[in-house]
Amino acid sequence: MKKKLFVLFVLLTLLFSLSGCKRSGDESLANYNFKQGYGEVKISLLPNTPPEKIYPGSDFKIIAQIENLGAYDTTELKVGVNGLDKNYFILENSVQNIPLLEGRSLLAPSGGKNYLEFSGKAQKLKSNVLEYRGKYFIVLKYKSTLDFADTVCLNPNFYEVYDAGCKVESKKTYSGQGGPLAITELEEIIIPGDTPSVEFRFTLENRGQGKTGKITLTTPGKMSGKELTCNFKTTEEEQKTMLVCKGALEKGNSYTTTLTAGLSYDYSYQEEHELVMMR
Amino acid sequence: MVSREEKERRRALEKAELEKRVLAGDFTKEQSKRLEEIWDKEKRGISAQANPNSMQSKEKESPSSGNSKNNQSPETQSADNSSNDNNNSNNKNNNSNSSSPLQLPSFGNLGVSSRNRSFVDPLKAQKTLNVVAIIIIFLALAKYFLRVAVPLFNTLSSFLLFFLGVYAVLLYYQKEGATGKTWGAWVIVSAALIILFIFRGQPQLTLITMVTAGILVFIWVSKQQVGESAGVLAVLIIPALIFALDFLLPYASVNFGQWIPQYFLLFFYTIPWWLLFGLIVFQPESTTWNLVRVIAIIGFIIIGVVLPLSEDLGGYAAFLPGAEEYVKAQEKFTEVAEKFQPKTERRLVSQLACALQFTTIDQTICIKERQAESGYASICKQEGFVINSPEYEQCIIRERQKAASKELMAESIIDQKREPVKLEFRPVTYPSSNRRKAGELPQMEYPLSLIVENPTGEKITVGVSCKLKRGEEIIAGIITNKQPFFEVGENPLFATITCSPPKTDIYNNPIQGRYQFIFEAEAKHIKTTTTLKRVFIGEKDIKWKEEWFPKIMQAHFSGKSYLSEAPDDPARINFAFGMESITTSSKLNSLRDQFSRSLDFPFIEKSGDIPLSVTLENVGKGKITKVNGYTLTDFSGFGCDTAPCSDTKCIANTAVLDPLIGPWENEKLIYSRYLEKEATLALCRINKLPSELENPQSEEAVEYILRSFEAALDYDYSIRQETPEFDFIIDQPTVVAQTTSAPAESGTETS
Repeated sequence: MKKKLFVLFVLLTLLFSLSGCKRSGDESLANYNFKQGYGEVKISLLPNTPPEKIYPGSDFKIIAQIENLGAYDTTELKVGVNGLDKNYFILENSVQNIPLLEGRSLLAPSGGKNYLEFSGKAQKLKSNVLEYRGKYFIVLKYKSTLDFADTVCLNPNFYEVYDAGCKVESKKTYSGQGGPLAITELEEIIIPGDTPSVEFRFTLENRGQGKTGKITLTTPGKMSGKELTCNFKTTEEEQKTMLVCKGALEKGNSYTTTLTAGLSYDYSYQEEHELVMMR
Repeated sequence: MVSREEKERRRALEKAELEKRVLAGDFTKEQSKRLEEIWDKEKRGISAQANPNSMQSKEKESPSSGNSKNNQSPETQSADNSSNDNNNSNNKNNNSNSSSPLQLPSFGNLGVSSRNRSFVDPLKAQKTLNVVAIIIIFLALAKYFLRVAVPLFNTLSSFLLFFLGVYAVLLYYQKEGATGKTWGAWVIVSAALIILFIFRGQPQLTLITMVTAGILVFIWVSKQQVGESAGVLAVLIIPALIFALDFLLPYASVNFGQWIPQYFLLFFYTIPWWLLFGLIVFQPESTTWNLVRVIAIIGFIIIGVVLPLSEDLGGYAAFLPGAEEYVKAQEKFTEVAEKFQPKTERRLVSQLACALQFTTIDQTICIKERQAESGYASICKQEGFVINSPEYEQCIIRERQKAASKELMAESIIDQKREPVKLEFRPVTYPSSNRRKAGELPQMEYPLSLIVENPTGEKITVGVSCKLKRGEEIIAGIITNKQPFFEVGENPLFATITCSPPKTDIYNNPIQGRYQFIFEAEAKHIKTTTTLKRVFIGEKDIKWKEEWFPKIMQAHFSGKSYLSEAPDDPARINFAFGMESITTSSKLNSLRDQFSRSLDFPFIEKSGDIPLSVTLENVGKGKITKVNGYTLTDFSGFGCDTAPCSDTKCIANTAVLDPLIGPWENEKLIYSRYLEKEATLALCRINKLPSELENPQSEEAVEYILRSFEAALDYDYSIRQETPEFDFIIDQPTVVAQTTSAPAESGTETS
């Protein structure tokens, strides 16, 4: 009898334990926020493309895998091979385009992938030349976007001691929004007075391996649905800039609201490789 | 033997010194106690020790006011104290030879050895110091001017100046009133120098020896109870440091050259530091001379130290100093220094001359021009021209032109990945003489190996000839090979050339005596190509240049591959072109500094003047006998001097050019017999680029375009080889005497 009771107890315990487990498949992916951290477009050459050694007069291919590990689609993506001397290597098409490359999302958790093939031909070496080594760069250029959204506390009654509302955080830091360009810091400055206002200072930094070009504010900063007045301020540091947005506040108690902004930017990246031609 | 008077004089001097020290309160407690014991003994009638240095019994004045109280009754102590003090003050300025009311114990009884004390007249020390300083000044000047011409003098003077420098420091302190014998310091310093010589001046040993010697000198000086012992040591370091500079700088430049710039070491090496030292320690009494001295020091610092800092002193290779290697090291250094600055005017002289000109001309330019002109004068003198003769003046003009044209001389580096053309003779073992009988012809064939490698595959023809030479006499030899010429394609040629002498010499006598064989080979239509890379960037902003220039340099122009690249052939065609001016920023200064000439800067923008230079260079051991033509390829679409380049002779000249005759057309060729190794073939200016190179599209992911160009040269080249002396010996016939004998009798047979 005791034995039976013991077995029943163990079975019930197992049942409760198993029923407590959650499936981590679709449900967690659905909740996963891709627009966090840093990600960018990566280039990698497929093995043996090009081959380690190329013989004079032979054809060869450079096949590049282009993978978007960012959380945003890229547009106008161009890949160019720079630096090959046409007296030694001729490429049929040294620049290729990918109009759109998907970023990481629920539908494409690994991001969009594309393969570009550059066909080339090795010229003949002069009779007294034993080998030729030609270095080249694969240059990547594209446009991408950045979406920012966060909840902030606004307190028009700056001097009010007893305020049961939210607490203003003067400085917040972020670990990226899923792209190479990231808003890393947000400063909130409340300007109290008869017409209180708020100033948001976004620090934008390039956290990828390439270089950021022109940055444009596509979706002006919005606070509680109202547009803010925004301007870029240059900083002394390279690949770092500041976006300053100002807006008026309505008098009243403190409250939380959503702050959003959207940016688009140019990005470039290059990698160095080598072709070797020998007899 | 020291005379009695001398002994007494010395004793009086010692007493006077003792008096001084007594008044100064120099005695320690133990010495005071000892004094008290001696005085006590004397009081009790115990005779003084039979020691010439023992205390006198007559005067019982204590050495200090405190001790005097022990000699008297307490009642009279205070009275006597005042009288004793009066006596002391009276005796302060007494002549040391007169008997003093203070009969003071000698050094011996005080436990201080009289041998450690030496009273030196400060005035005498001052005079000696000035004499030593003048000797140092003159010796330093002689060392500076004779350093190159007489390296041995340079080395010996370094050691002599070091001795004088140490002596000067010790004299300086003696004139300030320091006392103490100095022989110990001399012994230590001498021992250190002997060690340095014995152990061949190994640098590590040099440093250890000098540091140890410094410490021992400090200990010696301390024991002399000279209050300024630390100061003496500090100042003694100065002559030691100047001495060390001569020998340790070359060592430092070899072993620490990657951290210390060579020009920094050369700067310290060339300044005559002993001169400055001599000027500082020289302290004349006369105000006028002092003023002259101060002006000389200021002038030295400005002209000798400050001015050179603004000049690019360049770099040089030096070597470990070593012993008898000290002398060899100095000689070798002068060779290297001469390469860097071949017998030009002394830099200090140029500085002085320019400073005295009092003109508005920039001193740096003035010094550079003087140095350059003196270099030309030196070369022309070496060529044997008489100064101020018309030939000398022409030589000076030619050297100036050569210097100016060097700015536009293209250079090449060796492309190790291309096999070179080789043309060379190799000696073969062969007897050194030939013996024959009179009337016979010399039956011999002198051999020599000829090696020709022609990896380009383009056929070249090699013709050989030989001569015999004895002094000024030259006679044609006979090549005994089947044919005196060879055709060489891709396969190398290894042939033995044999040469026979002619039947007779120039006087129609049989060949006899010592001759040298001279073999010559001339290869015709050797073809060589040189490549040059350039990067076309179109119109780019500073930021792009700051980002991409270093990357492109690292990827495409490692080493000096911005120069044209050629195989190691006997002759080369070098060419280069680069923008006269290109805008960069301060961030790119270190990159720009690699290029002394704009011709070599490999980045080409869309617009701007681009000089192009084509140069012929002979790098082999033979001679370029003819240039059959040259061409530059891949220049289609380039505009030169408002015309397409292919139309002008800038890019191609297929005319046969004879470098031996000259002059070359349009005076574009600067050829000088002194420039046997180099000659400019063409100079022109590119002012238009092909459309595809004008503006690479960054937006289209084409940041730049790399393009290589080729220059091809067709030339004839000859080499020559002289053999060791060969002896043609003719054995003279021996004369056999014939004897006459009586005819035999008939019937008698003779056997």
